[in-house]
Amino acid sequence: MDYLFDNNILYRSSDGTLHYLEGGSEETITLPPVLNRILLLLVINQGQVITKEEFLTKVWDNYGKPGSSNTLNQYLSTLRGIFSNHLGKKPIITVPKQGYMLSFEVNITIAEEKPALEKNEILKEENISATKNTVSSSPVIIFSTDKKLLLFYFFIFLLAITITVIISKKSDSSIVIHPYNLGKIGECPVYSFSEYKTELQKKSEMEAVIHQATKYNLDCDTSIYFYYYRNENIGYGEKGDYSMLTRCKKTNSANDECLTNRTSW
Amino acid sequence: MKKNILLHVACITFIISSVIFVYFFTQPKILLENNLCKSTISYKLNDSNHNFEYNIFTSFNFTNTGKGYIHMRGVVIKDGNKYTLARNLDFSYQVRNNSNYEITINDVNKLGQDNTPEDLISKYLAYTLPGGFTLLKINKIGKHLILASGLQGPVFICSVL
Repeated sequence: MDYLFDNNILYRSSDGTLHYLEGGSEETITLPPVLNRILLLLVINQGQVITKEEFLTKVWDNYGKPGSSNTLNQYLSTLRGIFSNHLGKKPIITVPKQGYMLSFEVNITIAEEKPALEKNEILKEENISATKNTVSSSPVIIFSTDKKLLLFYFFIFLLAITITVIISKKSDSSIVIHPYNLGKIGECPVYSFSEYKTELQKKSEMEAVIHQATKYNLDCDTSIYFYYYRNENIGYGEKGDYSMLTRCKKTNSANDECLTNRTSW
Repeated sequence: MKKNILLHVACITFIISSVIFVYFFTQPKILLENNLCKSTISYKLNDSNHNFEYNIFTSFNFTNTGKGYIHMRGVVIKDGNKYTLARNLDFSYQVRNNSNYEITINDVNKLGQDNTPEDLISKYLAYTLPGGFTLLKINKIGKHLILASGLQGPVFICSVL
């Protein structure tokens, strides 16, 4: 059923929308289901006092939801805000120790669904577009179509940014290499840029490392670590082969000092 | 309806601009740009026909204008003869895919004590001559170390300042 409040607000109880018709604008808000049920209860009982118990039963209990006086007050406050902002009236009256009532201060007429819109020459298009939510300061959240759209784009925005950052980080990680642990010279770790699958391969490479370290008099202490690379395309010691052993020393400053020893055959 | 279309356009424009901004903002920095990379390299050629070795301290300075310079200080030994190498090289460079550096030597300034014969340089260190071209792949190891690799594999490790 559609209702017209003072010919200024079209209330469509079937979908809980309020269409503000003043000033030829096309503003629409969608009430949350609870608020819609409260407003409908007030509208169909206009001029009659509705007790809190009746509200709690018809709005919450009948729908299997827990309600309370505080929540009811909050929703009523939201409705008061809507009437006050758009009609300049305060038709929801609190009857002490009895309940609440929608007074006849607001003229409510039952509107025919589409002709009513045409008659008012306001909502000219099939789809009523949503605009702003004028009760955003209310404690009860009302989702307008705009808000849903913005929420949708917000999630798209988050998703797009996340994917972009992941792609960027992936590109960053491609320039970082993580050496493999090959063995030790004394207490000094030796790292390799290739992964050796078997212990036998590691042992063989470590023999070459120790040979090269001895040849270049590369000593070891607790602050020393090594990086080793050997060109694996050619047999060890054959013409064209080369190996590289870099000895790095941890220093007190952020930058370690490195000496690269390269041997070619 | 018109208002809704405008809202869609505004949101999509905002998202695209943000993505472009974030993409460029989070792009990895070019590792060596505006950085100094120092390394000491000992090289020995184990060949019966060639008895050659050197021990050179090298510092690479990459500016953010696509140019840079290299200080080389050390000794070169050929057949038991020891020579001093002390020269500065001016180079220009291009970076591709954040890690591939194409370095071209533009100019070489020899210092007074540099007495390394040019034929030795031409034979063993030709890439330091004007017009010499080197392709280096740069990778980061840990926080301050850079692994420089040639076409065959790693050639030296330097520490970034």
